[in-house]
Amino acid sequence: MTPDDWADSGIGHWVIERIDEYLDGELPSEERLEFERCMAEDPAVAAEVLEAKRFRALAAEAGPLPIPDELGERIRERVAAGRSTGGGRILLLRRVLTVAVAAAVIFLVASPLHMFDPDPAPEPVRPMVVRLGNPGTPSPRSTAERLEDWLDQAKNLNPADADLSLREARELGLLAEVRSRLADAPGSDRNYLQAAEDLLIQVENGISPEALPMEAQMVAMARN
Amino acid sequence: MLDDNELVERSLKGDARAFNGLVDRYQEPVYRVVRRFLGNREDALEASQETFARAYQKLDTFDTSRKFSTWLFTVAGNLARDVLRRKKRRPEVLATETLSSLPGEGRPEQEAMRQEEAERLRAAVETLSEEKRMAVVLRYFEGLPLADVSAITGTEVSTLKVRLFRARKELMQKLEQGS
Repeated sequence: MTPDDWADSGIGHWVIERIDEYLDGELPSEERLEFERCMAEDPAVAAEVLEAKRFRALAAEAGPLPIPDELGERIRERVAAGRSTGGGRILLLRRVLTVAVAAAVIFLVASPLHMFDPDPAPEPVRPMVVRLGNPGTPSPRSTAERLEDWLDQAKNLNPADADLSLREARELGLLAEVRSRLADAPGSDRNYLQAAEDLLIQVENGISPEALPMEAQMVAMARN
Repeated sequence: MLDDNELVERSLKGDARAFNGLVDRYQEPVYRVVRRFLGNREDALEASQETFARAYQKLDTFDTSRKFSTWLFTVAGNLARDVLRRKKRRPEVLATETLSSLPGEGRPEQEAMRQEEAERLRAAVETLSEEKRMAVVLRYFEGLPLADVSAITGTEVSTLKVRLFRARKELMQKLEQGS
């Protein structure tokens, strides 16, 4: 915060930061005494505290909202619908898959595969667009990684390769992935994910291959 | 009574009743938050259902070192913001159901004035920016601690305090203009 941020308040930063805690009785005793000294010496601070107190009372009086009778039933129905269409099974399956993938990675890293083939064939030339995996029901983590990979590739593509990349985004269901991640993303990630969502909506609607790298670049900027 | 994390663990093992226990515990606070944020009953009902459906689907990504309620409110808040963003419209003015449902205490004229002021406050909250509105709803209407509101909104506590201060000033100004 810069001093300018407080300029319009008429009272100091120190006071603003402590009004709520003072009213909650959460200030340590020394700070509470200091705060009360400020209130006694400065009528603006005292008025501010009074206003905060009045606001809290108003908010409390704004009253309990009526809860619709059908709320619980509708929530349970929605959750059960997700369960019966595989949500519950997927939950368990994800845990099993996570363990299986971890075991596979450990095995691959630990195995001295090169010893079995001292003269391996040369690596084939990788195509410009790397297939990022088969669509289907991968674990959330692998889908998330493929989203990052796709975005990284998309911003560096030449237009000739963009068609394949666009098809890939649709096949992998990246828009659904982004929306799913948006649901519980912390505030710091939301700009980036919303930019990614906007781009993937354009992909679904048929963005031109020429425009893709530039748009993906914009998403990368939102991430940084 | 089982705590939240125990219910989460049981849900992850496939115990549907355990997740229903979490629904019972949090359906009303979640509804109140999205209702005050979105400003209308139907959107709030839909967002509440979707919150629990998403939470169930993503339960295995929940970090049990965090508070379940904080995580759930994060899901609810993000969904509510997405509803607003997709609709690209201001929320409707609160339905009159809230007016008639307030508890009646005190003399009739005092009660009427109190209801009027409370109604003006609710309407004023809906004019706040999304960030301020969410902070005000969680902190002052739902009474969550600053640390929880900070975690839910992904905002530093010091920034949050300023946001709440500014929101409060804005709201009080609107109330004074209207009276």
